[in-house]
Amino acid sequence: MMKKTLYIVLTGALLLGNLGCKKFLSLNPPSDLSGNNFWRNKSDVERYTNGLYELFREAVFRPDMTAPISQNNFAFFAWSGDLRGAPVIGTQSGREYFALLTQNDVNRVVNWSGGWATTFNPKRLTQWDRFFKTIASANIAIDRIPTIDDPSMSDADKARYLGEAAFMRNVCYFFMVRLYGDVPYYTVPYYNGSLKRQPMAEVLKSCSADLDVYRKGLPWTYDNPALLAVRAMRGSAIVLQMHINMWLAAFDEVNQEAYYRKVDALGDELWNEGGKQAYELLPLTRTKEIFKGRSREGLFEIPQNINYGESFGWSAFADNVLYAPYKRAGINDSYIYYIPDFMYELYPQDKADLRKTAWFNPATMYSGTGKFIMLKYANVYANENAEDVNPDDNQIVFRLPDVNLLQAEALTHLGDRAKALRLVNEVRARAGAEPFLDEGEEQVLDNIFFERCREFMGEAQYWYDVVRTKRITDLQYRYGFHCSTEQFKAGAWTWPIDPAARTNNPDIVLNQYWLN
Amino acid sequence: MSINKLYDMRAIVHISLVLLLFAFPTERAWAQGNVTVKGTVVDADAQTPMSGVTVSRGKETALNHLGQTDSLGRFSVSVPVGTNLIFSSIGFETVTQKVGNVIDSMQVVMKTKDNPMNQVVVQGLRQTKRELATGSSVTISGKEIQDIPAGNVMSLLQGRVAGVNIQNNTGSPGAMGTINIRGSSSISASSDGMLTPTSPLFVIDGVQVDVNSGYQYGYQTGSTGINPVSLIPPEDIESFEFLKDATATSQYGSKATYGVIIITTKRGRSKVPVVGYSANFFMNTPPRLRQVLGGAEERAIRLRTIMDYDTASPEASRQLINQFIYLTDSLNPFFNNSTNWQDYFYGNTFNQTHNISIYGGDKVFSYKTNLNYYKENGIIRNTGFTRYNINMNVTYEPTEKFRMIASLQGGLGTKQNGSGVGLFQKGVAEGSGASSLLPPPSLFSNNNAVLSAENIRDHNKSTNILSNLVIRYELLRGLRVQNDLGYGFNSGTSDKFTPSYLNYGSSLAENYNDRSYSLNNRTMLDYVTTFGGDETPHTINAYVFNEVSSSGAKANTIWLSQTPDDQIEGPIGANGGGSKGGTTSMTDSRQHGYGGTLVYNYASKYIVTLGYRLDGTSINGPSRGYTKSPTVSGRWNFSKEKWFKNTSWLSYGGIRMGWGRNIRPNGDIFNVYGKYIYGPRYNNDPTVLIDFGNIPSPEFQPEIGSDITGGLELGLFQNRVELILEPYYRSNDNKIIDIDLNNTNGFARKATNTGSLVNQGLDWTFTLRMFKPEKPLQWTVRLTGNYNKGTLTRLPEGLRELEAQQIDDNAYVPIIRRLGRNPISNLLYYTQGVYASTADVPVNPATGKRQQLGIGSGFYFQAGDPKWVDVNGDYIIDEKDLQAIGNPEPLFFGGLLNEFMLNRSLSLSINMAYIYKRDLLNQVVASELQKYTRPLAFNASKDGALTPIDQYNYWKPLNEDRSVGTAGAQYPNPFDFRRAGTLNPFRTNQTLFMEDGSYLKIGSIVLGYMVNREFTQRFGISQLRVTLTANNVYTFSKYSGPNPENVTSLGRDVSGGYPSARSYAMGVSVQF
Repeated sequence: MMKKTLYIVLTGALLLGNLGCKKFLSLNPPSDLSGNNFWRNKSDVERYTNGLYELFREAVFRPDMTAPISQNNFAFFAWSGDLRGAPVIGTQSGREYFALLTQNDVNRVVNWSGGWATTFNPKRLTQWDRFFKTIASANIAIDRIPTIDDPSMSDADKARYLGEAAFMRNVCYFFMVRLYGDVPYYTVPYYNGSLKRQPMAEVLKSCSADLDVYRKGLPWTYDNPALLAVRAMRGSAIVLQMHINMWLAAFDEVNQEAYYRKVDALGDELWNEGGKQAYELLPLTRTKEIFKGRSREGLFEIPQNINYGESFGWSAFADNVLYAPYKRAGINDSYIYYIPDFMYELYPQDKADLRKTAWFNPATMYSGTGKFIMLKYANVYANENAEDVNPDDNQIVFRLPDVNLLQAEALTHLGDRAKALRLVNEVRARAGAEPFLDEGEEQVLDNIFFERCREFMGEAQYWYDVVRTKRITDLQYRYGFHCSTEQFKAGAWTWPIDPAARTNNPDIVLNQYWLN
Repeated sequence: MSINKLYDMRAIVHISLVLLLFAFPTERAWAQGNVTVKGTVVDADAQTPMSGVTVSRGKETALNHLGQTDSLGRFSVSVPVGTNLIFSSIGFETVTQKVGNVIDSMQVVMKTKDNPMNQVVVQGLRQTKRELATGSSVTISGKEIQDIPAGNVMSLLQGRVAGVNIQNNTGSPGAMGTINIRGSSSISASSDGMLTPTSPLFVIDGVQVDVNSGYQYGYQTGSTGINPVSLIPPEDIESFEFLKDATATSQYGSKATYGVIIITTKRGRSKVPVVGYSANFFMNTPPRLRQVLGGAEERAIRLRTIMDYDTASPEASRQLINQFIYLTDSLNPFFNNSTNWQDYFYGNTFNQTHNISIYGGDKVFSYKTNLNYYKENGIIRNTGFTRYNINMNVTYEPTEKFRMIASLQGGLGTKQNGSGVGLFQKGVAEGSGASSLLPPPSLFSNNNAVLSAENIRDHNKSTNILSNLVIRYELLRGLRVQNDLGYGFNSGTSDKFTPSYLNYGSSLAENYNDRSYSLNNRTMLDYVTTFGGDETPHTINAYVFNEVSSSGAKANTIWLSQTPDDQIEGPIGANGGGSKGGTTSMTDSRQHGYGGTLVYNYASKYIVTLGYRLDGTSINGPSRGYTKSPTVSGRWNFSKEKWFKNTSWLSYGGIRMGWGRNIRPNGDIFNVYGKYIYGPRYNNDPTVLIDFGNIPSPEFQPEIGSDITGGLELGLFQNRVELILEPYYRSNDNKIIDIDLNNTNGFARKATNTGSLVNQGLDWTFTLRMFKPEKPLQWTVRLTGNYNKGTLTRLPEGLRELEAQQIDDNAYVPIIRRLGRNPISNLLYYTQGVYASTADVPVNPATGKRQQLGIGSGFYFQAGDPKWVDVNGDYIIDEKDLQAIGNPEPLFFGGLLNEFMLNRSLSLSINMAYIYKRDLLNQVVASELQKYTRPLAFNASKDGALTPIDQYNYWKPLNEDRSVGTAGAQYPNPFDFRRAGTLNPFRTNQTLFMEDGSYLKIGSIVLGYMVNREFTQRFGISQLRVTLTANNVYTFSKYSGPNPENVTSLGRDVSGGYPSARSYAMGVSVQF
């Protein structure tokens, strides 16, 4: 009897000894952070979320912001948004890309070899892998954040971080749709399969639905001024979703009305639920504040700061439209100018508009020469080491007037021109310009379009506006590049896709328009 | 007793004699009315006195214990007349002798237990008799290899164990070759042409040493290059146990997936101290070096090549030649030489090894101490290996219930690598390939390799400490608790200083240090019970255990660039920017396992074993749970059945069968959870990004090794013929294969558990004793062998094949993994000889043009070009014509051991090893011939030496326009250097250089003589033995390269590695 008891006790002791082993086996490698010891507290999430913005910045600017100013430049915003198909003329020989971009000859832009091609890496415009890196990372964040067990992390914190991650993946999808049209779409974490390109309307509808889920977790603004507009806010998500729906309305015409209503509802959400308190249109005398960034007008921006050792290099739009004293002495011409016709259209000489003086030199803005200068981005901190002294402004992605103008455009389509004009005229009033009157739907839409051109010149909106509003096929519209409706449908507005996309994913069909 | 002071051998003898004098009177004192019986015990085989033999009366208990024999085999006991004296010693048959008339000089002869079934083997975590073993394990006595000096003891075991393939693929002193049990289990290769190692787990005196993981030694990383197994002195090894199948290994847990090798050192078992000394003096000689053209001959052949084959005009050719002063400036003393570079690098060396062992003790307390010194100078300049080892163990067993064994082993190895790097010592003797035109080495000459080899200050040191403590206590009858604690620590430092004049004007000091540890503790509860009486005994043996282990390693490297002076190696480099340093690798892992085994045995006739082990590791993280490794095995000793009772020819016979599974954690925690890295700051705040190299896969699985092994064991004619046959089928599943992802996944690669391979084959061991045991001449033959066929059975995502670039020293030969074939094959062009004439080249009927190289290259084949098979028939030779050919794994391997013994004093042992059917790529010949295609631009100080071309059957033109030439030539035209740039006729990836690597190697010959005991005893020497040994004697092979064994595990003969030396040794061993 004694014996038996003894066996039982001993065997039991031996086996029970194993229960404490889970802790024993949870050994974290001393060399690197693994997923097993990451995702534990708020600080992990904060750093990872901050990393999502860094990944996005790497997707649309230089991979290393601290590299010498001449290295790895990638003028994503300027080339794809401002210059493509724009009424712009280059002033210097050896910079063929201005002509190629404005004539929509993008195949030659991306396949150019030597010279400026090695400086600006235009091939990256055809490569979507960096966007997908950001998306894959954001998907992991959305999967992991709800599981974090940290008392210092409130539900509101979690909702905010989820909102930021969702914003990042949707801004990536939206950017890719505007670049390539149909793109593969997924939101599952650690996705390693291969997907076909999904129709872009499907992609954008999913994006809009995703933002509906996560948008409200975002705060209207931040107490920490360093985060303003640099980290996603509720307004960032709203303006992104408005853009998404406007794009849907343009390409999914059957359901147009629903999209316009959504845009209107989103705008109202901003005005009524807290946006009014969080954001404001700053007077143009404070232009430098607006474009330096982190202002109450900004909704989403990509930062650079010489003080942190960061610089966009030569990738900023401003590099093309500034000269001494805003750049190093000796540079006396802008690389480009907007054609005088277009400038006259935007800024009739006889009409008052504070933007003329705040953003341009009225003496040269219609000159059609290299003396054309644009002062939106002119917060110069002399970087002695750089070849050119480039401004230190943030890249504005979305700004409050965008909400006014997009909502106004949607309202006009819906027939509520009174409300539309009220919104547009808020923007005009800030510029000291006379308000628009109701001159019929066509005219109001034209006015809104040109107001966008005026307001967002150099903010990477122009090309997408002409594509979205189909002005690119409309010969009534007199400026910039035009193509036929057939060419447009075939994808003349897209970028070619790098054949590397087909590696290990043969289902990917490249953009046929550019394959000839 | 103070061991340290016993330097003088004679002193020990005196002391032991004094001890004896004290010992005897005390025993006499209580033995009143008894007679004193004296005598000697002698080993029947060796005819040597046996020390430490237990003398007792009746059953062996403490009460009956009478004493032990001394170092000269003498005993003296006091017992009543008529007592049965029992003499027993481990490994020997017990002898019983009645005390009768002869009481002064009783002669007892003890025979070794030659019933092999009583041999003790290891099964799982415990020892058992071989007749009860249900798994596959082989024991090799340490005696077999003790007369041969060796840097790494494993190299001597080649061919001795069926199914264990040891390839000494580097001759670098102190390095270890590859060891695979029953075929390689690897499907991935490293960049230096080695398969990912799948070495067995080493258990050295109870301490686990895993040479697979944490194996920073070797390969191309900075390290000391000393293998931990090299620090064990061969002289001190008692036995090797090779556990080959899962039944035997699974209880060791996941590290034992590829087998287990248990190395046990000797223990003391003599009442009086015994001092043994052995020494070997040996000479190492380099293998036959290649023939090289000297001086003018080298220049002439280069000039002739250019003049004959340059496509431009003779004037242009002359101008071209004039650009290369080493070709033209023959009057310049700098270029007018015939230097024999190989002579500067290779040479004979004289070496020695010494070993002293002291042991003693009795059943209650015994001890052993062993001191070892080994020094080997490499056959290449400035290389070598030195080993210092001290090790001791004690056994304390005051009662039958309690036993404690403690052992401690300290080893120190130092190594000089010359200018070589890594396991293959790449770069060592690189300069021996220098052009003979260059002047002999001096500070001012072009060739620095010799000076490098000589003047690089290089010091590599590796120390290890292995300690083990075993405590066993019998709680109740049959129930024992045992605790095994093993701790191993290894530390390596490597300092290398390259003076500035050898490093482009800036000196470089490299300092490397690493340390690693492994700690293992196992508690075991063991229960044995027998019931059912003597007629039908049922025995049940069960044990459960709980094991925790942890291990870790850290390595640091510092580079100091441009020290102020060549005399100064630090502390700071003058060039801060060029200096760097930090921790280069850091690992840590923990493991917990528990399980048990149940053995049921009915009358030693039927045995069933069930085993189970659960393992959790930190490698894949705690959420992976515990993996389960079950085993089931059984055995039937049919010779014990009634119907064999009267068959005298059958000594024993048994059949066994086992199935088992062993699970090995794959990859690391990052494969499961991903790796998070610090990113660039954003908005001046820190960021963390996920590493986009490998996608985390939560479904990541551990590797599963499972096998079924059968076994037939037969002993015939009083065990004069023994036979073991073991068929096996082993599969390794869930091997890691990385697949590339597409660029929408964000991540670059995914590690999948989708590789599977199967090894199936047969191990055999035949032992023949030619003459009856009583004859004076004994001849034993042991033939071991293995037939193994590896098959790749699974690849990721339904792929049929997977290609990978494999970059060797000088050649790009891709490897291919194709389902249904051997796991790794080379991707080669099939060469069908040489086009004798241009008319022989096939003509594309569609274009009327000859077969061409590459699409649209305009390069057409002609006479003297290799005839590569155009597999797809498109008249274009390109990568579509590559075929999967060859198997770097041998089909058969094994060995043959012949042992002769005359009058128990003169012995001769010849060990041979063989490999049959293995495909090698002779990259040596390829690169020798390639040199002829580069008469102008080459690196004179590295690959300038030319071997005589006449030894090759190459194509020669017969007419002016070279459209017709030698028929039946083996090699293409080596002189057409203009076309060779495009054609690359001597590319390595063609069957022209694939050869059969079968060989039969005479590994070692040992001639030993035991000097007459009567004679030596006069000098107080109980045993004196002298030996003559030759090692790595000769290799018979049709292979045309230098050595079919000196190749990478992918079967590629990369020249520039460290050749294996031949050694001749003279040894002496004495025992006092």
